[in-house]
Amino acid sequence: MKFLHTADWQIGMKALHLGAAGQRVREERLAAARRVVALANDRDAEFMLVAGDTFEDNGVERILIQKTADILREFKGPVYIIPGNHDPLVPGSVWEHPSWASTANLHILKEPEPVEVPGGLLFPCPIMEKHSNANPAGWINAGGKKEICIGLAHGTVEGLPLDDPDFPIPRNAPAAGGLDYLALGHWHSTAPYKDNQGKETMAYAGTHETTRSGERDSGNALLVEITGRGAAPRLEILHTGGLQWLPLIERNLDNPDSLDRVKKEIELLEACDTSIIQVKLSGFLYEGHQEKIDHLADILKSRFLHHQLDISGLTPTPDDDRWISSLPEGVIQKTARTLAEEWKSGGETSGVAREAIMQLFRLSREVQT
Amino acid sequence: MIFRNITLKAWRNFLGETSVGPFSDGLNIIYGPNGTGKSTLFEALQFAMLNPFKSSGKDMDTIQPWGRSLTPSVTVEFACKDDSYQISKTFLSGCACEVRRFENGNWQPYKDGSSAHEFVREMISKEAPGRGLAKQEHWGLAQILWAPQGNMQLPSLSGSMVEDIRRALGVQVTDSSSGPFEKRIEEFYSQYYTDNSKEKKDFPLKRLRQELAEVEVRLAEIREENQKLENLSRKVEDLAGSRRQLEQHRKELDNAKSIKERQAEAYNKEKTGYEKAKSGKETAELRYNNASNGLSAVESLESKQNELKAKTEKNIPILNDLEKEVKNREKQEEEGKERRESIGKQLVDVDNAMKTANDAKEYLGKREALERFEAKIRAAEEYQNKIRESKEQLNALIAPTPKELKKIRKCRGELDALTIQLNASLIILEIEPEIELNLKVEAGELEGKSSIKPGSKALIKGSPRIIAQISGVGRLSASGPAVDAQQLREELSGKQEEFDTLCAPFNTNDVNELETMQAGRDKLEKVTGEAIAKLEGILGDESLDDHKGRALRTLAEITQLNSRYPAWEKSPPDAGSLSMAAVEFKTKFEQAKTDAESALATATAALASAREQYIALNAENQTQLAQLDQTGRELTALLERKGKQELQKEKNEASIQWTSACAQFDVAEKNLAAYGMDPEEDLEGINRQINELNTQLDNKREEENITRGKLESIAAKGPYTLLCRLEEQKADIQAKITVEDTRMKAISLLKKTMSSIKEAMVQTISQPVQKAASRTLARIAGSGLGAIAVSDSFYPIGVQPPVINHSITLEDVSGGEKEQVYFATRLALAEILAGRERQAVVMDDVLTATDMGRFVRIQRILEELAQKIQIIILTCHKEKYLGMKNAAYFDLESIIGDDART
Repeated sequence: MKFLHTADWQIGMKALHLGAAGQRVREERLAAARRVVALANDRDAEFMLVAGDTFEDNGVERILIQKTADILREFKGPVYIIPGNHDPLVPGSVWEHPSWASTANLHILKEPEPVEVPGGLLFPCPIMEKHSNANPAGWINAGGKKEICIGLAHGTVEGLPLDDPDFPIPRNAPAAGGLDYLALGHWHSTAPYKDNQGKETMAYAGTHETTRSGERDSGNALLVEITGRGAAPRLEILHTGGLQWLPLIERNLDNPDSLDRVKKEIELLEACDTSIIQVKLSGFLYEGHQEKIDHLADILKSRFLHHQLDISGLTPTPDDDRWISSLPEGVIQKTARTLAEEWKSGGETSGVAREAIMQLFRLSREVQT
Repeated sequence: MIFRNITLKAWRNFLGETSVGPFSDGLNIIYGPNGTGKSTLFEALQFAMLNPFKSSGKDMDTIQPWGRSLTPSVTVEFACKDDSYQISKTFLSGCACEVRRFENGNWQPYKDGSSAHEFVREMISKEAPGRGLAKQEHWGLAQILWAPQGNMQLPSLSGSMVEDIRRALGVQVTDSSSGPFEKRIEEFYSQYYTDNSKEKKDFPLKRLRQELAEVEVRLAEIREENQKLENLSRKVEDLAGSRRQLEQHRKELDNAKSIKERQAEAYNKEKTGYEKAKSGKETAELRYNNASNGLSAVESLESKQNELKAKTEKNIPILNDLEKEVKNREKQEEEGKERRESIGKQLVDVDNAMKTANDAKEYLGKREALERFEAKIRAAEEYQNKIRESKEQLNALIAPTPKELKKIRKCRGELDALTIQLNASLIILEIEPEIELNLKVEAGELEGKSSIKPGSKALIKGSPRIIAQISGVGRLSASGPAVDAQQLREELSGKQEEFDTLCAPFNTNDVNELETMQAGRDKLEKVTGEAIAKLEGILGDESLDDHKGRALRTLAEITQLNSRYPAWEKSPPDAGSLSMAAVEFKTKFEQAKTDAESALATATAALASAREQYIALNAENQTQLAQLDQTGRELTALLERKGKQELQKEKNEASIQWTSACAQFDVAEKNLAAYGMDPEEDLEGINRQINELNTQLDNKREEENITRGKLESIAAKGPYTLLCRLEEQKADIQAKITVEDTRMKAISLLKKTMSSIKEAMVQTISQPVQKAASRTLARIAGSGLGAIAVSDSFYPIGVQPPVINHSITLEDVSGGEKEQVYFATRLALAEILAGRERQAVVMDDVLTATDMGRFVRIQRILEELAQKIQIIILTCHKEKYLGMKNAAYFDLESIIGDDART
């Protein structure tokens, strides 16, 4: 038995704070889905398992359902899908869309009852509500079966950090249910779980396209091969993600050269229009830094799909008040010094005073040039 | 800079070369009458120190002497810092400029041309505008130090001048490079805020907030839509659950219906058997009943026949007895009737006895009444006589009535009063002579002569005066109060006449007598009244004749009774005894009558009872005989077809068949009862439930379909996707708002900080000027005007009188005071500027609106100031400046002389 295990496509996902790139991020999830299907075909998977949360919400626009169904239709074998907690099987859900019924190879598994699949039996655990404290795989009892038995569930494997149970799935769920493999969805990082004998009998495929910065081991699907009942499943991670959510670059500018180093670091990054980058600078703004920061912003804008440059932590250096001395004597200089004192006081208006200094700093550059 | 000398040539009215000077370092007064060229001198000084020498045009032409094509020139000798200079400028066709410096005891050329002009101009003003040099605002230091003719008002000071003053004060507010900064900050600020520090209507943040509000509105709608989607989903789920429950229920009912249908089939079978058994039973019962009834009818008739026979036989002796009884009773009734009639005949006697007793009573009553009538008539007649006699006496009596007497009394009183008044009105002279006197009354009541003997008295009365001539004595005259005695006499005479008339009928006018007469009349009237009252008491409302008539009628009735009972005339009857005897007689009669009627009634009742019993029994007997006859006929008819034995046999057979049918029915009934209720009824109930359930199911399905339709309609819009986009939009706007908000606050803070610092600094620098000017003003005008308020460009903007809390503008003070405020401010500024170098103040005929009192004070101030500043005053009022300490006077008229003038 050879199949492709994927999950958490979350088509129609919200993409906050990405500006115009938000639409691109949503489109990339469909593109990644196409890559999943292509890989499944390429690797001769007999069937596909989609372990829930195919859609971000049951209220996504209907064209996305059609597009998703069209993508899955491209797989040469059957596709078995269970609803997840984001797209639970409720009236009005995405699963009532006619596109599913019109495609013969797509099987929306709506009942917790065994289904014959190529090479064995599938025990699906469809999700009917958004929250539950019940083990969705608790009903599975494949102990007496002779064929290869696999499960398809959506939930949280016990031991993962959560305040409240969220579709809890015991660590020994495969053994307890007599399963050779339990395909999971819900958590976005790819994560196989071994049983007592060291066999990887349970795994999260992870989301096929990374959803946010800092998400570990995501953007994958799993190709699973089981040679027979009781045999150890062989898992192969297939990378399917298209976007790179680069780790946050958070740097403190503590000397006049710091900014140059940051710029160099960014220039060394492999740039493409699929990368999303966040840069957060703090510390002091030295002589000539303002222009460099503007330049840095230009670099980020031109090289990456989306960037965020946070310089709210930057202030003109208090030790280097040469720029203040360069201001006209009298009112202007005194204004600059008064604002600087207010900023340093750390009082309620300190933040505004900092920004006011920055404004004056920029003005000084503008006027003096 | 101070001036030493000024020389001009071919300048307006100065044709020849005219030099004024040398000026002292202190106070210089150049005086001369109007038209001598004081203002021309001021003008020439201005041209020499400030105006470009290459200037041309109409204004320049005016400086030429009238009608001459001469070249105007001016030379000013001055000292600046430690050097002495001489600037010479020639204008128009011979334009030239040269500066010479005093070096080594000689004037050495120092600069010429434009550089010479600029060199000098820059000593006074840093600014060199291309045009409009004649305007005061371009005069630099001279704006403050030089006051043109009659105009003490300060012009707006140029920026460099203000800075010069500030520098002189040692305060740095801004330098020239600050301007662009301030301007840029102002521009930046004005992008977001109005002049009133309000956020601009079209500022970016407002637009962003507006966008955010719009997005939030749409978000709220979409969230509501999403919520609706979820709610509808739940509702569909609930409806589907309910529908499934109903379907399950119907399934159960369908099963129940199927079972019931089978039961109903078996039941119907049983019911058919039951109906058959029931019918057999009923038939057997009917047959038995028929047989039984036939036999019973024969037996019943036989029994009845026997019974009737027995009854008729028993009735015969009873009927005979009753017939005898009736006859006895008839006899008894007859006897009762006879007795009643016998007693009834005594009723006439009873009535007669009762009438006699009543007549006797009436007779006695009438006799008593007659006696009373007669007594009353007698008494009445007696009183009638009395009344008649009294009235006759009254008619004969002459006496006043009380009313007449009252009138007489009143008249008498008035008569007396008039007499008293008359006497009081007369002058009375009483003469009682000792010797005989002859008296002649000339005026008085009794005029005429008379004599008065000794021992007698003569009384002379009169009014209003009396005059009496007494021979040998003299003439006496007396007068009294002016009362009209004659009128009183007339009134008295009239009253007397009235009194006499009133008394005339009574033959006396003695009031006492009249009163006695009236008392006699009263007494007689009283007696008459009492008699009339008595008579009325006796007669009541009737007349005496009425009483007499009644007495006659009573007498006639008594006479009538006497004719009926003649014995009573001699001996009146005993009415009581007669009455008692009559009553006793009547009582006995009535008792006997009652007894007889009671006995008759008893006999009649007994007769009726006996008759009734006889008739009833006789009728019963007749009926029984008829029944007996009928029964016999019926029995004969019944037994005509079957005999009694045959009927008995038939009944026995029917009884056996009926018992068998009953047993069969009981079995069928028991079998049917085992089903309890009729399964058909249950089936009907189940069918009703199914129908009801189907209706509910249809409704549920319809509601579910409608809800599902709504759900799909909302889901089709993809509300979550819309929500995502809006939330992303919102996040972007919020981020921009945060940036923009901070930027705006920063701009505001920057501007406000700059403004407050500037304000504080300006306050610091303007204070010395304000203080010095205010001190000078107080010395001139006293403390009434208060301190001078000076702007940040040192321009006097008002005064602050101590009596009010706010400042007032210079427009609101008098012309003289305004002039003094400007004077004080100019001197304050000049003093400050003189801190670095002695400066020259030039004033051309100013302070014209200042009164002499204050002018004298100004003189003292000028004298003091001259110790630090050179002061050159051009005036046509020499007398105002005479006697000033250490002043150098220049008589312009004499200086110019005839040759220099046009």
